Amino acid sequence: MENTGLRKRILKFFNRHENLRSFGVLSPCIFWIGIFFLLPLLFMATYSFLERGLYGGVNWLFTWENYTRFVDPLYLKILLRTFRISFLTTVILLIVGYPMAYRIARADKRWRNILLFLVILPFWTSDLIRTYAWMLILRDTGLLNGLLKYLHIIREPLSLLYTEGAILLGLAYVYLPFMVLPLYASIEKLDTSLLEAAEDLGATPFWRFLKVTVPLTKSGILAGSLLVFIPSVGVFVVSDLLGGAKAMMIGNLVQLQFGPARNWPFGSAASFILMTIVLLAVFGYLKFAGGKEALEEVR
Amino acid sequence: MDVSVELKGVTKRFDEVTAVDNVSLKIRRGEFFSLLGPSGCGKTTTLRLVAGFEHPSEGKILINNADVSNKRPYERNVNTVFQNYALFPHLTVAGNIQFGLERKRTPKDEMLRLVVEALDLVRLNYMGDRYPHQLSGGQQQRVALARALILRPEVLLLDEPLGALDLKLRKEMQLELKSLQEKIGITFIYVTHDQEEALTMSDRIAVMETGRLAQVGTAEEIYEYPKTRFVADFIGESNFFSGKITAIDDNHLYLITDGGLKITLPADKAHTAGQHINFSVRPEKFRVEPEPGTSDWENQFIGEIVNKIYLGESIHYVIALSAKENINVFLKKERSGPQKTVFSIGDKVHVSWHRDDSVILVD
Ligand SMILES: Nc1ncnc2c1ncn2[C@@H]1O[C@H](COP(=O)(O)OP(=O)(O)OP(=O)(O)O)[C@@H](O)[C@H]1O
Ligand SMILES: [Mg+2]
Repeated sequence: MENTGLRKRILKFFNRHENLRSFGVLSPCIFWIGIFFLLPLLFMATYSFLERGLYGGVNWLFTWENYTRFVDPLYLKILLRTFRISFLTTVILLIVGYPMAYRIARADKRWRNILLFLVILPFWTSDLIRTYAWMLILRDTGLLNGLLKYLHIIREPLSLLYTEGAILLGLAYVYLPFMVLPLYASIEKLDTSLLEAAEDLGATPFWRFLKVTVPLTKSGILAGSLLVFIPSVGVFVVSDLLGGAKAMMIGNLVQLQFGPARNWPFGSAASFILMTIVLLAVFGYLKFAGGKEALEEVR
Repeated sequence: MDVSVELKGVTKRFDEVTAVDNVSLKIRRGEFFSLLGPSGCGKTTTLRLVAGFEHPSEGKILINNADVSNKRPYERNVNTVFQNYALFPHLTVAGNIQFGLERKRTPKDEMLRLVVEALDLVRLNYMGDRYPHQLSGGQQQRVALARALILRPEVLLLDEPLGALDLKLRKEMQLELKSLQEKIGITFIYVTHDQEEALTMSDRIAVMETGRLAQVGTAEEIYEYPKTRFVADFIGESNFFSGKITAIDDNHLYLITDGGLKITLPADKAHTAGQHINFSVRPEKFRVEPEPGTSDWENQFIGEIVNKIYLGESIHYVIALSAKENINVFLKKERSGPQKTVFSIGDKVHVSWHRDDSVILVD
């Protein structure tokens, strides 16, 4: 029985090396990530150090130029705008999403499911269509300007579309569920007897929120912030439709390079710069906000 | 009387359930007061009303003679030890204990001193840096206690604080809690459904039955003179009889039970001959002897042992006194002599009890 002999040896190996055991279980997952995530990343990393080909593609000649080119007020401004918008989106959604999630988590059972369903409902249509809807509302001849004119509040249409404000609005709208759902999950788990204990020990509602509710729902706050911040840094549909050329974000720049500009190496370099900054920002944030435990939790 | 907490006709309704029903109580300053009763009788609700988590549907609550009925918990000088302890998992032991002080903006060094003192009081010295999940159940319980006591409340409320502990630790903590309470002199309102716990620890006990007060009194009053069948049955064990009064004189009340036993009870002016009443006798009050003669108690009957259950420190006999009446009797084990208590099923025995050990019940 060779087969059982081999099996025994494998089992013995994993018994001796406890910490390698999880790799056995994870191996399909590792394979998947390797093919569909790491390999493309490797391609991009390579491309970002090559010269652009004339008609797209690359020439196999090493250069730093794609990175040095990025250090330019034009691009840095885009980068800065991207982070400003993503940061503000996250903050706005925390402020809007927290009370919303709190209310849902504290609603009675029957209502809770209905309200959660309503939060998720927009997922049933694509981002694109929902963003177009905002265009119809915000443009000069759109619903909002029409209404304001009708009410004689304004005479000339306000230019709402193609501004940073419009992008903020669009992003906050699109990513609301990503903030509300993790917050809901952590608030729902919150033991109400802890809130009572706080109040019993003299905490006013505000003090209680600060000292008990927020720390105990930290995992939801961290998860929600990351789920909103990271994708909004890379967004391009929303910013393209609502921001246009006037308020370009880095996602649009990358898309431009891979698309019309046919400069894949520069697009790759821009992506890498973005990725590095996001990674640093996220780790910095987790370190600052959560210490080691939060890092562990996200892992 | 120095009243710490007073409930005046307090009623609490949840939709159609009346959890607390017209309860009036005065609890003295420094008293160890227990609320005792079966599950669902409204003990927790009563405590939550005093703490301020619930507000009465009717009636008033006074703490230190001030009406607090509409005050929020953080406006009341009352602290609670929760059944599940409700320790803040994100704070250390010290962090938990000083939570209330931080709110009061107590100076740093003063706070440190008080925390050390509180840790010392509950014998958790040097545990300040641990997190609640690193503590045993008994230690968590003490942190909860220290956290509440450090604020020097007018009243400390405890909702089955020992419920989650094993029997041995529970006994230890009972003694510890009691001596702690005597030391610091704060009024304790203690909820439990464990009658033994209530009897050993309390200065006074309120027995509750479906939202009402069944009886309030010292452990001895409640054990020896239960007012109702519910109290007699809930606290300890009891034998119940009912019968018709045949005569009453200055010192005695005579009746004949439904099973035909002629019984002498202490006199009771509230009753008249011909009335039908219930009374109870505790199982350890009986004398059981193989031969008649040594007992001069009023109530003497011949019975037959019908069942015998060995309980360790004592033996539980079921003895038939009449065709209708079986009694439960607890006897210490004595193998021989006049106090012999080791009998077999089927033995004929002489059973007697003193008239004052029969307690007339109101229902
Ligand atoms: N928030 C509430 N909503 C509705 N009914 C409630 C609420 N709180 C308590 N009740 C009801 O009030 C009654 C008394 O409950 P309470 O918790 O005071 O009982 P208890 O004596 O503490 O019981 P236990 O020993 O099981 O803890 C119960 O019938 C309970 O179902
Ligand atoms: Mg209870």
